[in-house]
Amino acid sequence: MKAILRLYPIGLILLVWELSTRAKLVDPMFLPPLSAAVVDFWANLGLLMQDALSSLMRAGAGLLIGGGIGLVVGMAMARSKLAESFFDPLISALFPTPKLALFPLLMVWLGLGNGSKIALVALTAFFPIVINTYSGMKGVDKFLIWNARTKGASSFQVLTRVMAPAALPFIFAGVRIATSFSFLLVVAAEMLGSTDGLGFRILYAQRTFEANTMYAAILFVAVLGYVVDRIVGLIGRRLLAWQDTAA
Amino acid sequence: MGLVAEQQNQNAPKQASPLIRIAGVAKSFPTPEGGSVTALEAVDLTVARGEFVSIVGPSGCGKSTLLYMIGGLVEPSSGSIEVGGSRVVGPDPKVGIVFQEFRIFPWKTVRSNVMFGLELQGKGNAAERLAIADRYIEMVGLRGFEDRLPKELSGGMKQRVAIAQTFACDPDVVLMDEPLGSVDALTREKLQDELLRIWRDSGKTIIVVTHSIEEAIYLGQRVVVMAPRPSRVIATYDVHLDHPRTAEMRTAPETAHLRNEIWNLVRGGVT
Ligand SMILES: Nc1ncnc2c1ncn2[C@@H]1O[C@H](COP(=O)(O)OP(=O)(O)OP(=O)(O)O)[C@@H](O)[C@H]1O
Ligand SMILES: [Mg+2]
Repeated sequence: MKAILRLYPIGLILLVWELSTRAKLVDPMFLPPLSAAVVDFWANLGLLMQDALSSLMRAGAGLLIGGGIGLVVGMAMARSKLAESFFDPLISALFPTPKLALFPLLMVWLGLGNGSKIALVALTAFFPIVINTYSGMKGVDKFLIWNARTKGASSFQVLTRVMAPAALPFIFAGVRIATSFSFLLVVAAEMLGSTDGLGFRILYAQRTFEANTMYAAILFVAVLGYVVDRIVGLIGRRLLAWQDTAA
Repeated sequence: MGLVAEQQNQNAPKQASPLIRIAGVAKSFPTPEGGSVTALEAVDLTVARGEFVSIVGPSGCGKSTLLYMIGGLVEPSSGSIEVGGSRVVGPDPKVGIVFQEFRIFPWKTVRSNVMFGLELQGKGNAAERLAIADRYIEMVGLRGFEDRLPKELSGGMKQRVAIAQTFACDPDVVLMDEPLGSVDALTREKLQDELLRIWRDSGKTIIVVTHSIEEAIYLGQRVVVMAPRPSRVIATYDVHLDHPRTAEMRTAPETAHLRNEIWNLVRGGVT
């Protein structure tokens, strides 16, 4: 109940939207009434669900691949000077590059299907996770590591049983950023070159002057993004319940 | 039972074989400016198998650094440290440390913290580990807190978890760095007696660093006094108190006398 009450500013904006469009204050080609978009959503439910599934699958696959590699590389960098000196300059150089700039290239290599989008998302998700894993593990309290080492921990055990859990708050923050990046990038990529997905649907509706469908798809993207972030946030709270934080 | 006894036969440290041999050990750390800061210079100390040794000395004189080096966590800049006849090259589960900072694992409950060392070493099966953990949790008076997370514990409780965690691994040598510093006076006395009981029953070799000279005397067969600038051992006192210790010994005139003597020495070393 409290959570719903907290969302009242959003409700207010939606209400203003509905009323101003109903009163014909704006051209419905620019902004159709909210209710029209919702009706359109129901009418095209099957199609939009299909699109959402494609988008989520691409974002999820890219996140798993890029995040998984980021995790392994970040751990390796935290443990090995060699890996650190190899990857650190590469990451510093490539991190600021907008990965979307590589998408035309990826399309040439991997085609218009899932491959190019998954690759783009993987590239994007890799960075926040590798950087957070690396710096989180580097910063692990020396005494936790010493405590384990004097109790017979091998260096692999130190890595997996001490450093990884101790760095989990950092790693998880990286996962959260990577998740929202993934969603963003998949929608953008689908707008640039795709035959399905929510990004494609938004752009296609715009080009065919289906304002209602365009808004239906935009709202769907917004709600999905919100839900995914909330789910990730909830998992984080469960996983990090041991953290001794203020408040 | 006399309060003062001559060196006891069953615990005659001088004659027994030395288990820990520290010879001419110095340690300096590099500073960010490119210089170096000396934490220890020229420490010599031998500890017999089964001995209980206390170390006292002012803050910053290198007590913790010395323990880290015996535990194989920090390498001496010069000199040599041997435990059980072989040179220390790294951490060894036979040498347990209770750290001054008592960092226990914040994502683990009290029980899994205490079991962690056994798990790492693959000792026993799950049920045996549980039984050992619960025994030591009981010993440090944390029964009923087994499933709590460290964030729900006070500083003194965390410190006791750290003690249980180390003893659960059953190391031959236990190095303790101000293990009772955050514990209230009453619990402190109880835990001192527990420590002495474990020591007597198990024959472990224990070195305890403490800021309390009274504690050093009550626990140790010997009190080693360190001084700063240059950091070194300036004196060693044999404690002629019987075992088991009794409450009266805490306030006995001999204890007070030794305390004053050490206190004067430490104070002299500081100024
Ligand atoms: N990693 C380090 N880098 C630089 N200097 C250090 C380091 N560790 C210890 N020192 C220095 O070495 C000296 C001894 O430190 P140590 O922690 O061993 O003292 P201590 O006797 O345990 O003090 P306390 O009673 O306060 O715990 C101090 O001057 C400290 O500044
Ligand atoms: Mg210290």
